[in-house]
Amino acid sequence: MNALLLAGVLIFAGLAVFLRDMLKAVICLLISSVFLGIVFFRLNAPFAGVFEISVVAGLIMVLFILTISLTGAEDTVSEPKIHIAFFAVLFLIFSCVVLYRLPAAEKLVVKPDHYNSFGEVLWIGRAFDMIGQISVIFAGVFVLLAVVGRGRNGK
Amino acid sequence: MVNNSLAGGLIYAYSFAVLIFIGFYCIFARRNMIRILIGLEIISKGIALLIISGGYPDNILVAQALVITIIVIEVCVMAAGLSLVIKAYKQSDSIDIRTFSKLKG
Repeated sequence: MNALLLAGVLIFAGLAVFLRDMLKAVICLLISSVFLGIVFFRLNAPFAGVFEISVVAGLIMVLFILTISLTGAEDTVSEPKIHIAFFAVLFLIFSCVVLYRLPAAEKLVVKPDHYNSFGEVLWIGRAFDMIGQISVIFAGVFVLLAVVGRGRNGK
Repeated sequence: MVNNSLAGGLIYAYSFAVLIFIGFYCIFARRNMIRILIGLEIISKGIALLIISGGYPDNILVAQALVITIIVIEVCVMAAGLSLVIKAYKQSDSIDIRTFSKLKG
């Protein structure tokens, strides 16, 4: 079941890249996010799944659709002729490395954590991350104000 | 990724790799700024999948916390990037990434 869901994630992510219509591309990205959220739920990660579906598939897609509607939906930019075979060769090299080195990667598995709930991890174990998150949110707000906001003269 | 069965781990590893390569292809082979941000989004999806599958089943709580951090950062990056796209469109009436090379100051 997870393999089918992952196939859905990959197919719709690919469609998001190759479809010419920007609106359809963003909708394909949205469906890909929903599939990924379901995979997270199935991997016992409900909080990550909720965030993936509500924030990524919801908020970010709204931002994308807003930008497309403000800039014109048609894809008028001329694209360069970079052949996809180059990336396919890179992927094959990656596959060989993974198949060759995966048994060694089992040594990298860390010990299970000793936390009992997700709240303990988020607010005690990863409290420093929360400071970083709040800083990033403020940074994002300042960037938006600096880029989109009006200048002092209202120009 | 590797602490469940080997076959299951391989599925997630390859899905991560395909997502990363789709994202890099989108970033390198497209000049539309919105498409480039879509590529960035696909790459972050792959990384989130790698972290969750790597934490499954023993370290899933920490993995979720990290993924939520990534998602929050991703939202801010997307908001900043899309606002830059709108600004560039207002300035030069195009969303071609090459118009950014004409910026001064």
